[in-house]
Amino acid sequence: MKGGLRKSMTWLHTWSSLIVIWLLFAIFLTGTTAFFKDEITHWMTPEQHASVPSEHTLDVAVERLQSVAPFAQSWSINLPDDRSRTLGLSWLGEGEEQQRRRGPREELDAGTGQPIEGRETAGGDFLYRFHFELWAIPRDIARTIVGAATMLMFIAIISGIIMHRKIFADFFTFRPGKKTASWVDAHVVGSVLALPFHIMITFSGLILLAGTLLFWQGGGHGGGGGGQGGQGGQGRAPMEQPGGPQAGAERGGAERGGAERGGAERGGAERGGAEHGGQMAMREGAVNGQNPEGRGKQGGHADMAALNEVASTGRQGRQPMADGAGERGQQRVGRGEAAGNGASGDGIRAGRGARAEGEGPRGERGQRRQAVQREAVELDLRAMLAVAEQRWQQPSYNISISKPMTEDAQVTLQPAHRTKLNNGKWGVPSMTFDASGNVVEETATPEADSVLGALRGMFKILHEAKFADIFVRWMFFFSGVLGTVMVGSGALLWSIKRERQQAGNKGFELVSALNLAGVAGLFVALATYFWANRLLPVEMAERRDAEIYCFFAAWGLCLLHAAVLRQKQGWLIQLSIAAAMFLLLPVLDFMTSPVGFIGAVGGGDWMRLSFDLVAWFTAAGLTTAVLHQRKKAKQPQRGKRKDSKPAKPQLKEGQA
Amino acid sequence: MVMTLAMDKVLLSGRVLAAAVGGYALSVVICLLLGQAMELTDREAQTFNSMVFFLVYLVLVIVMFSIASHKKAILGMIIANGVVWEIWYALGGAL
Amino acid sequence: MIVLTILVLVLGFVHFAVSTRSFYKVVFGKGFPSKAARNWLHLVGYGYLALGLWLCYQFRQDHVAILIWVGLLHLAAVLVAMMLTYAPALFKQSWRFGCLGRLGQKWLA
Repeated sequence: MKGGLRKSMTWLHTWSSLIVIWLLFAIFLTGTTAFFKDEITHWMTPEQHASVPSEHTLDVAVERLQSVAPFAQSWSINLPDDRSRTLGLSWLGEGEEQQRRRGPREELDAGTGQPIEGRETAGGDFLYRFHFELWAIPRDIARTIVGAATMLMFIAIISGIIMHRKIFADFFTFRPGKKTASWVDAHVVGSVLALPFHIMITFSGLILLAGTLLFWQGGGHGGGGGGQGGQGGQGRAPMEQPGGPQAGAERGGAERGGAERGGAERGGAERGGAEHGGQMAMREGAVNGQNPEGRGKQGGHADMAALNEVASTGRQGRQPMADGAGERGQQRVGRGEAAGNGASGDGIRAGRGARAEGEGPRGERGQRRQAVQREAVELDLRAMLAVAEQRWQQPSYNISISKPMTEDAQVTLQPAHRTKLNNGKWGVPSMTFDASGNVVEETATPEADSVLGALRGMFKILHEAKFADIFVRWMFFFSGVLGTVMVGSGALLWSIKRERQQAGNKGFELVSALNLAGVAGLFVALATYFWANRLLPVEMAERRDAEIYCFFAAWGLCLLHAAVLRQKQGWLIQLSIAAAMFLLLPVLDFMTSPVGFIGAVGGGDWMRLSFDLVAWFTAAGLTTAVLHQRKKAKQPQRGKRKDSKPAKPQLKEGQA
Repeated sequence: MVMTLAMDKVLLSGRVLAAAVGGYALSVVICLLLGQAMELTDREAQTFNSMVFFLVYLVLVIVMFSIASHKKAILGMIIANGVVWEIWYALGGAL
Repeated sequence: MIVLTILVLVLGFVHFAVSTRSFYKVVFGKGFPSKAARNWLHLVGYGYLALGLWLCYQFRQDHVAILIWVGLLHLAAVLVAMMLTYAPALFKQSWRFGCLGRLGQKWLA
């Protein structure tokens, strides 16, 4: 461009980001919330709030499984950890084929062992999926859009660095109350201070979407939930270039299917090819599948089940949850009765003699049971957990037991999460014990086969914060907030700079309207989403979609409002609404949840309390913005621009 | 004057297009060549591409916009594409 | 521990801030940092940041320590920026009581 490098970079910076800035803002905001997606889902399922994990949770789990599924081929227990407060159980009944369908699964109160029928909610998963697949757009197209936006973001970041004269001299400068200058400072503070994070998150985002963006590679990486979903994927995944060098090799065997472009991820999940993949595999599958090899054998189909739901949650998710649950419930009841007298109920260890003497209501089944006489075999799970904790330096929360209550029982443990990020592969190590507590097999954390693979793996893991404990997670969240500030202030900066000359101009007005709806409106939409979660009737059909509709309806209204009435205190109105909604969110929480504030504190439910706290922080930020806006409105000038800086950083904090 | 302005806009769009599409194509072939030069297996190459491609693309776009004249930039991109693809095919590569 | 690390990093950034023209004034009231002063401040500042890294390494003995360090750098930098804007007095205090950079008197005033 004419006028030297700096000028041309400024041009590039401005326009490459402007055309997608609202999308980027939404991606950043929802992506930041995605760091706490489990926590959000927890908040949005108040039925879970009564669950308080305790020392006895393990006993509760074993007791429950003994009475519900004494003859199962395998059990799987997901103990509550620092990111979940309920107990997840699943099992695979006798004679059921592992490949065909996942076994029954239930969510229990970790303290009392009562089953929890959580409401149907899109939870944090909607926000998470929205940040890279948007909504109601075919997956490939959505990912391509997000990918292109991310590339533009990458270009904007780098050109932004080049164009900035004395980036490090202005490092700490922030001048509030000076209109343009304050916005420039806010933008610079938001970007420069967290520059390493921004570059990392953008670049790794691109890597995650590489499968969609590099279409000349013939469809990107195969992968997915593993198992059978592949076939569907295989069939549907077109190799763009038949001779594409990578396609064939990477695709490998059938088990590797679920290729992204084939969009088989969902198919894979629902078809229940799930059994092989643990949590990681599936999540990974959801994003950019890699082979989930080296995972515990049937580790966590509980997770799979959950993730199946996740997979269908996204846009088109309308898995008939209610039905499924009902069916499962029935099964449970039937079996529970059957085993009732056998398992004397107070068993603390696995395998108190739940004998096959029970007269199952279904005669045929009962008979079969008698044939498979089971012996009382005690498993000292606590000792095994202790051994594993010693080995991995972190507690394990995933326990799967094959042939439970027999002498051949084997227990496989997996640590909660990975703690490293240089292995490059998904998955966690596992350790298998026999019934008497000896280690029979141990698999190490899978390692990448090359430096390149390890590097790519590292970026992916970083992006998804898989390895992160709660502290690191908060740091990521904070950096994400800074990123949101960067994008938001960038958007406003554009129109503030041009306000004098271009007001009234079509392009300018368009940008102004989109700024209002894209920034303030998104906060309103987000708050609406949380409100809808609590206010929509619990038994409503298609409830999950209804929540999402509320989100978009609110956003749409904001857009409409911005288009028509933005001159009349548009910012003030939308910001006030958002502030009020976030402010009252904790109140709503404690009014509509079975557990009140005192109970939550008493039970140490920090997942929920942090959510409420962040909601208040957001409200505080928005309120500051509102007050500032009012002050400005009283001055004679065009009173439509928004807050000055102080509000901004906090303003974005609104997500956990 | 009006002519020049209109012309300028056309050229600017051309440059944007050249950067976006031409840059993409050029990054593709550069990745292919790099992969071949480093004798990567297909699988490694894919991993390699999924990272390096974006860096190459980024650099190309930045370079595209740092050239002073529209015409030079567009021409440069076209020629560079032609030459590098030619090399790729000359080396027996195929897409 | 984490709080201590953040504090160290904040003090590190204070050195960098003082080495710039505009914030030099906040502390000294007038003048601007000489070349030697800047180098000295940067040196000490880097020392603080390195100390922060070492502290991070104390609670995570692997590469995640680096990540935590970078994350805390972000946080500390924002804190310094906020401090300069909203609490310059606090900034001065932290310079007076926490910064070894003051030992380089001969380059500073």
